[in-house]
Amino acid sequence: MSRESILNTIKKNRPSFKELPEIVYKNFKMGNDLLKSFVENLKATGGEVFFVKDKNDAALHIKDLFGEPGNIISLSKGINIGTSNPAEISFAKELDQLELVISDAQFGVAENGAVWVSEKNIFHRVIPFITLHLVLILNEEQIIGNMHEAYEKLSSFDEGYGAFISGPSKTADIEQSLVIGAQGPLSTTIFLIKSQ
Amino acid sequence: MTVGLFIPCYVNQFYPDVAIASLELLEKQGLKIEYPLNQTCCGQPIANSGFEKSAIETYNLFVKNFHRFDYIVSPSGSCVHHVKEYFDIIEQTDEVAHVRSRIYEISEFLVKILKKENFNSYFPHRVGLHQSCHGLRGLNLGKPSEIIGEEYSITKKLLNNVKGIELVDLDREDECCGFGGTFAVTEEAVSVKMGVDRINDHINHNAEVITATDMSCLMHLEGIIRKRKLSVKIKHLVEILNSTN
Amino acid sequence: MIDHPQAAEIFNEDEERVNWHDKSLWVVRQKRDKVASNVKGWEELRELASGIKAHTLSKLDEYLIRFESQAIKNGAKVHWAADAEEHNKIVFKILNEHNAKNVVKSKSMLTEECGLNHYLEKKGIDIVDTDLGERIVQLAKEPPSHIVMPAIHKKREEIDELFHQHLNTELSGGDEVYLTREARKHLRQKFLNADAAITGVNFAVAETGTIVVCTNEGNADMGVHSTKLHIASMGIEKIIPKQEHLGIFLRLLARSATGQPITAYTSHFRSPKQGNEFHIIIVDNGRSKHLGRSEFRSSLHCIRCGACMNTCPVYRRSGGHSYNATIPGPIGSILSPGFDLNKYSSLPFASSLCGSCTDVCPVKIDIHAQLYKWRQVIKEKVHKDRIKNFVIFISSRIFAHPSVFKLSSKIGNLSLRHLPQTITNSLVKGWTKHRMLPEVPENTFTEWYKENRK
Repeated sequence: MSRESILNTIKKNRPSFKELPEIVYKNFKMGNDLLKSFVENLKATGGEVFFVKDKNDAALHIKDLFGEPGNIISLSKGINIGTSNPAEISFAKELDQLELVISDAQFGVAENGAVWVSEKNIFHRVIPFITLHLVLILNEEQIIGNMHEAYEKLSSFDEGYGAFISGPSKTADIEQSLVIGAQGPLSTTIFLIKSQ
Repeated sequence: MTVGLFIPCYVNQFYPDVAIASLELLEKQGLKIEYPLNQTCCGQPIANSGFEKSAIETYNLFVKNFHRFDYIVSPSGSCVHHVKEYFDIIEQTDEVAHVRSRIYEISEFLVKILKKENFNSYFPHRVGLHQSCHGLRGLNLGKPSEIIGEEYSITKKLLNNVKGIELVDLDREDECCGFGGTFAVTEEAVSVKMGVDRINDHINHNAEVITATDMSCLMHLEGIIRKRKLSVKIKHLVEILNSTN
Repeated sequence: MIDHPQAAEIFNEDEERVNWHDKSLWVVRQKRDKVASNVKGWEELRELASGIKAHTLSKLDEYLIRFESQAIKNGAKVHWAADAEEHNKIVFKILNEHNAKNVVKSKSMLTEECGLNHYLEKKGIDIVDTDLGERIVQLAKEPPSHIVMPAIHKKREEIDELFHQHLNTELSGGDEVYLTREARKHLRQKFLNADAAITGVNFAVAETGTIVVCTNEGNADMGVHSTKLHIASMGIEKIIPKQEHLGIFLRLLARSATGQPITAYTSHFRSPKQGNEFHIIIVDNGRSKHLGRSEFRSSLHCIRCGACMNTCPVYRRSGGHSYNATIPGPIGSILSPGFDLNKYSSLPFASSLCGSCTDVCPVKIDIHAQLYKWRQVIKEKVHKDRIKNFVIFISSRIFAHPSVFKLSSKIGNLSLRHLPQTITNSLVKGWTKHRMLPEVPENTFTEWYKENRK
């Protein structure tokens, strides 16, 4: 069987044991202003970021930005402007006309402007991708420094799916000219709820 | 301190002035320099072509000629690099080990061993430094632009101490010239294009002279310069350092 | 089948285009420099990544077994393919079992290596590459020329024409926004009507059985989450031991590849959704054999970032297609000879050995040293160019004997000075088409030294 022959060849050919290197995570800590860094890096991706007082404030802002699109799913508790209930949806096809999705994110990473969402935030895995516009909400204090810290936070991650999302979808495949909005959302906006 | 001078075969043949400048510069430092007359080649052209085993006799001859010196110095980063890196296929006798550890490209010898950076040189020209790959990346004569870290450059340090010199900035500080040994002939089109692009970078920044630690790079660039009847000149780094008023 | 030098010569017939291609890639290299310099401890990260990969290779079988067991626990089905043919057969079998006729695929160089698209198309399956660049080359019926930017060799006018022909777009002079929006509409239909999605794997975590896929376009996720069947193909070397190691590799990957701190989407696939199926195919195809090559095995560290291509002055001026290999450029030139020494024998020579590739490699593969080493293997095992071999033989005799050297030096000197240029030029063919030979001085340095110092 291929499995056995592959594993046997590997066992025969692998080099002698090499220790896993020791990682000193503090060597990578930057000690910079995390919030400032997060905002800078997110904006560099083509994403937008706004500071808000609370979820109500966020909801108002969303109205300002997007008007009142007809097809909204809100997965963020406290923001009740959704027009469809994801629980009633079973096929991606039904979400093709989705214009706006609002969801909570769990934390943000300053070094690259990414936020982490997982299955529990997004209900259907396709939702943050099939929508025209994506809004993600998190608290200011949920911004951490770098990916090492991110994986520390994720050490007990046991859901079926999760993703780092850093800005909108994009491509530069046509003569290296950047186009914001490829197969995923055309825009990604982060609302940061200010610490009290 | 005894110093053996190693002159690459093509420098001996085509650019004796570079060898003379190397000899004179080292003699001016009060050193006892000898040029072993039975030297031939470091073997790089044979080895780089894929025949390193056929170069073994050449390697052994090299060690035979040079092991008696405290230091071996050469105005060629690529030859020095070859000895240091690729003489590992011959038996590592004390003599071989000695040669491999005591061989220096001339600018690093001046700065690291003689600990001298100023030679009262005078060269009132706009000069573009071509950072030959083997010297830069192989011998750490400077920090390559793709490495993230503290900037440093032995060659720039030496050139900046030359009176009257104006070092020009380039668009690409350390892109390869395209010589690459037999590459220059087997991949002629790309080799020439790389050379043309390097020359244009220097010309676009008004360099009058292109300098480098390796005559191989300069020979390749000069070949293109002369073919195209361009006005920029070439001068080995050691010729600039050896230039006085 | 032309070799690299011939293909490169043809590529260089259009100097404007070479300049454009070279500049496009140099810009990406500059972007990489900029973002890497913002990372405290960048060189340490590289060292760690290399160390983790080296460790992993030393226990590769154990980590693969661990990965498999975790993935199965998570609800995935794991398959093993010894070679490209078996991989393709497994993919087809799975698709067939699900009556899947319409398949969307997000970039996987492994599937390219296996010739999957061609195989499936012959079996009547419609397979659509959903990365914009991959879709472009798919429509153009060309292989990708770069592992990260597959259509980097294509001009906007060519893409405009291509889309006009295949997607019925209006001629737009290559307006990238318009073309991308049209591609989005076109690909959206493909996603929604697909029966299955195939993805590659950027990293496979042994500890958790998770696979990670990085995209900027969101196409891997669109495909996987719109269908009920996800097939992920991975080479055996994609394994990393622990989830925390993703921190190291993800910090290096996008910065090295495109000069971004991270791709727009970094998706972690652990379990299939309820009612869906998730298949992982672990592929060997020569990798376990390569693992046994002590001087070359570190090329299995490769995380397919393409940084070596972006920095390579030769790649930039010859284009990916001139290598005629699935993976081109520096890394391709040290991986491909392992597959077929004869076919790829010109690749390790398609380099000036400048060493820049080694410096940018995030997993510290000593690419330029391996290029040198492959040359030795090739000259020993592939008997080509008897004349060149003879010249080298003669040279080695000359360099080994001082008296012969001095004599030949004198002969050479005299010939070059006194023979007509037409003769000397033809002797050094390959130099003199575009370059002058150096002027020959009257005396060599040896002669000067004897006269002036001895």
